[in-house]
Amino acid sequence: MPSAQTMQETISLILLIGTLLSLLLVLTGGGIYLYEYGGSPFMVPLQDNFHSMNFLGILKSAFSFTAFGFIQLGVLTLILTQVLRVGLLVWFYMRMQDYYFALISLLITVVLIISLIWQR
Amino acid sequence: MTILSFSIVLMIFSFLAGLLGALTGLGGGVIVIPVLVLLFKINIHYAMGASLISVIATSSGTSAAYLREGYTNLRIGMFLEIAAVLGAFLGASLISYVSQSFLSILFSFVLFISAYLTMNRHEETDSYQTSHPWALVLQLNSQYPSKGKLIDYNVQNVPLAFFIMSIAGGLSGLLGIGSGALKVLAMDQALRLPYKVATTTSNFMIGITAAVSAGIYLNQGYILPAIAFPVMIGVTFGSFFGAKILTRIHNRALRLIFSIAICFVGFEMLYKALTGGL
Repeated sequence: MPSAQTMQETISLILLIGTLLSLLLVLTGGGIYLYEYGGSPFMVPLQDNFHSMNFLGILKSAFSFTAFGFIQLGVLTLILTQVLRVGLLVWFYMRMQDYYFALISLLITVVLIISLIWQR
Repeated sequence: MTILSFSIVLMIFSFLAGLLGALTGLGGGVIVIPVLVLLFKINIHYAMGASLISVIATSSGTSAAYLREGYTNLRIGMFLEIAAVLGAFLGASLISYVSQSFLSILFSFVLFISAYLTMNRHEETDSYQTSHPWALVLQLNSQYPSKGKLIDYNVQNVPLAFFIMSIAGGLSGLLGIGSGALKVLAMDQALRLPYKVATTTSNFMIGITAAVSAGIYLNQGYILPAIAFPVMIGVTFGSFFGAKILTRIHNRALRLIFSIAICFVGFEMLYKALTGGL
């Protein structure tokens, strides 16, 4: 059975790796973007040009390996890190036979996943 | 203005926002949104989307460090997070239905409340001998390290904290912020946790709450890469830097200046919203 300390250290490690990876992806995307378009005039996106996307669309654009794709991938990495840390808690609490908290963590994981794939 | 100069200026302002956010314990969101809206004339929806990403990055990065130090109470964090994620889900689902001026007005009130809470926080620890019945059932009582030994603490009003968390979650979803000030209030004033436990546990929760909001914002196209990347990089580095120098500066004077400043920004946003300037 894992101890509370192992649990905290594992979650801490996941958070650190996820955040650094995400920052690296966003920095890469931002760098490419500025290299390619840095000299163009900036236009403030004033209009609320609402464009609903689905999760698959976001995933597809994220893996397009364009400047915005890398940034999008960084954003997704950051959000998925949160899903992973809560999902891991479900597993840890199950192993510790703390079923109340396994259920609580599961509920939060489900809300996180729904918010990512939910379409209006 | 070229894209390069816009991105650099935005990054510098976001860095300062992250730095001030870390020094005052408010988080970058409440500062970076007014900067984007008032200074750069960016649509508040996009400003909130960019802010959310920086909030998650900052919270995750600092939580990683706090978790190792043993202050964070994971059980309290997860239990209260139920209310926060449901609130955030509801709040974020509503943003495309409410007007920008409504959001700006609500935001300015959050700024006033944040200024008040920043000035009125008490950091001394009261010790309680009894705990709330819910705290016993859920085993929320714990210990925290202080001066080389572990000190026990008893958790107080759990239902009240749960209720405040749902409001904090709703505001996080509606306004694209971490709602750190309100989360700390719930744990400090309702649960009566030691201050360091309250702030680190709040920090642990913010990333999860903001991720729920960010998922919905992302699906609605409110997270624009061109705006999100300078903000995320600036705020994240600013808050890490701020957390490093935190112990070396006089916090109280800074909090006073900061409270006055965000009240000023709050009035500016309120005025612009009411006169149709946004």
